[in-house]
Amino acid sequence: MTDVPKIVHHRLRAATPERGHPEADLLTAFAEQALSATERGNVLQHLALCEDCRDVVALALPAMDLTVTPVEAESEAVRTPIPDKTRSNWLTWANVHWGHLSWAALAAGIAVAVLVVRPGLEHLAKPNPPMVASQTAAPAGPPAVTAQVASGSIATDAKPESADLKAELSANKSRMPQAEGGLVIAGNTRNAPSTAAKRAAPAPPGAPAFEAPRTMNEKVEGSGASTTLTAQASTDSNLIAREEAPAIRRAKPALEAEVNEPARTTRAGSSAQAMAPLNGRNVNTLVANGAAAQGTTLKQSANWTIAAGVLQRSLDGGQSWQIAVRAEHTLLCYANRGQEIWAGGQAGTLLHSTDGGTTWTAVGVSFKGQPLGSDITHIEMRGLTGIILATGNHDGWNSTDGGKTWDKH
Amino acid sequence: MPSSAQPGGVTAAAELYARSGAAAYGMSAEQFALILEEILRKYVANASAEQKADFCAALRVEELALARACATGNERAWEDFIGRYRQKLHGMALHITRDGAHAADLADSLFADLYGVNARDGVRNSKLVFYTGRGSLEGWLRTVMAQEFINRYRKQKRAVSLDEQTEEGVQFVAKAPEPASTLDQRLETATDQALAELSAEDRFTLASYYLDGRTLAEIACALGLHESSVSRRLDRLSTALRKRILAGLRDLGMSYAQATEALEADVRDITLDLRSRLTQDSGPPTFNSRKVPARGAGDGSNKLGND
Repeated sequence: MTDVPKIVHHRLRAATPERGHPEADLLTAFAEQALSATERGNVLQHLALCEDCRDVVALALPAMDLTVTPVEAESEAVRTPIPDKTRSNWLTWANVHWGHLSWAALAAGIAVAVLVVRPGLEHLAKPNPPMVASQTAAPAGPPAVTAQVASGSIATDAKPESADLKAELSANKSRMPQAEGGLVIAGNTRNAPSTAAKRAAPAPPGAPAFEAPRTMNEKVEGSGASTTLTAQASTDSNLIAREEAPAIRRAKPALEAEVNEPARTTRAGSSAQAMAPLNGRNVNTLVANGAAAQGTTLKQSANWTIAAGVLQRSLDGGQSWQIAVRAEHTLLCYANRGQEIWAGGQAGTLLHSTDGGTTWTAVGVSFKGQPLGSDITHIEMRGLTGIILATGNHDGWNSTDGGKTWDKH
Repeated sequence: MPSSAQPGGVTAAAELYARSGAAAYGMSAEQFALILEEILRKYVANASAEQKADFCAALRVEELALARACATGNERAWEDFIGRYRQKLHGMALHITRDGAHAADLADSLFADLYGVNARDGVRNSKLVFYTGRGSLEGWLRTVMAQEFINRYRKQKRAVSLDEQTEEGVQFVAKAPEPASTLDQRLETATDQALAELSAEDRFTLASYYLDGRTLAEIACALGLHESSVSRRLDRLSTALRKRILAGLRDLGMSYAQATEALEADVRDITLDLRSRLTQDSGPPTFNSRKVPARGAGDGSNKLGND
């Protein structure tokens, strides 16, 4: 980091606030991005001059034991590395002007994206015909996914291998205590902890638990001991193509469609929501913008940020921002890689999108029947399916299967 | 909350009351409405009814009801509060103080303040009455604890005994020198002008990073930005500030060379360095490693060599 002249340090230190300190309420709301623009400006004006209040804000930040480095979109793999105070001097080569190395960095970024990030590439080494067929999802729209949920308990097949993308969920009671007693779809009671049930329960009129610019319809079929959650694309033309394709082309739809997600979007344009506890999660799937309604999946590399408690997305390099998703509770953090985005917030709010923010799933995090109720302050994606959450009360939650099951530590 | 005299006001108030769960703590709708009106008067007294409704909708009414019920001494509220926050308070204190003994002391002290044990004449004085639901209750507790920590422990730290300093190996620390009085006033003027042109957020970022030594992650978390945004902003600011100060110095009559020299060779750097070295413990080392000149060499000032 380029240092500033000493005189700047001196003059910054010499400045003192003219008015009294803001109250704890305002400082808290400032740190949680919950102030209006005017109030935020006033608080910042004071903080710029008041060392004590800056210390209070810094000390009152949630524990940052897990250093969060949200993975930017693939296009940002070539972004200038962030110099860090803690790095040793031998790493200062990173401050080299990357403009001269842009082509080399771009090539490196593409290589990393192809070799490491994209999960579909692992199948190149060992071709698997059924998987190949399932992964040749139509690039023009969300795929049709049928998830069958067995009675009792559920385990998700992470990589659906059937040609029509059916995710058969088999019994695994030990991994899914919430599902005991059978699956009950929206409106019915279920065997889940009260807090989790409260959070997952349908929102009262006028206070939607989960807002999005556009809603969707989800066809839910349930009978007896088993329940089938069926999702269909808006038009037949958007159904999955099942043609054989070169290996290098097959990897791409796998990223966009994320076929390992058991519950996906359905007919866009209608407003009903369906929720189903699915392998320890409460699934609440929505379509988040108009692109999905037209059956298109966002392929642009998006930039993400959280402002005013909502997740925002920019598709033009940060020039303009749209609200990607808004939850009942304030969102505090996010992590993304390619088309996959996780967003966490207050009261254990955890949202997941595998299609660049087109559809979102509310994920209920629980361990041994105890739901996560505190604020999620940091999210980190590890490897292909590893997720680590840090909470405001210094707990760490870890999932190694893409959020299906969780461990608390 | 919209006034109950306006259309929809009663409905909105009832919805907020229902959402808050205040009834579980024995709080009536009227009592809750009074609390909301007090908060509205404090923050958005002159706002329109629609703005007030939006403001109320953004409040953490459930936590507000819990805090206010605790402040009035409701037992069930306290049970909930203890269940939710007692353990967290100790975790927060440990996070803030980084010291087990101080953490326990700080957490217990805050808990006493929250409980209002300093009640006089039967009136409970709980700090929880100051919570207004604008942020999370957990965040508010962290902030109050951080304020208490700064008020108490920073003052105590300034009065650490010499023995403790010796144990910590920081005896005879030089006092921070006063700024040199010979500093060209134009440099201060140009710097102040350049800083005044920055936004409050930019000045906050500069002060947090360069004065307080905060990490990029901490600043980013406070501002709700990504670390890389903070990093880029700091780079941009440091470059722009230098240019702006140089331009200001030239406007004040300095040549480019003079301005550059004034900015780069800040006289206080030299003063600070000299003073700090002069005031440090400068006793002679046990073994003089200086090379002794040969007999007859130099001016003969080396008495050891003359014996």
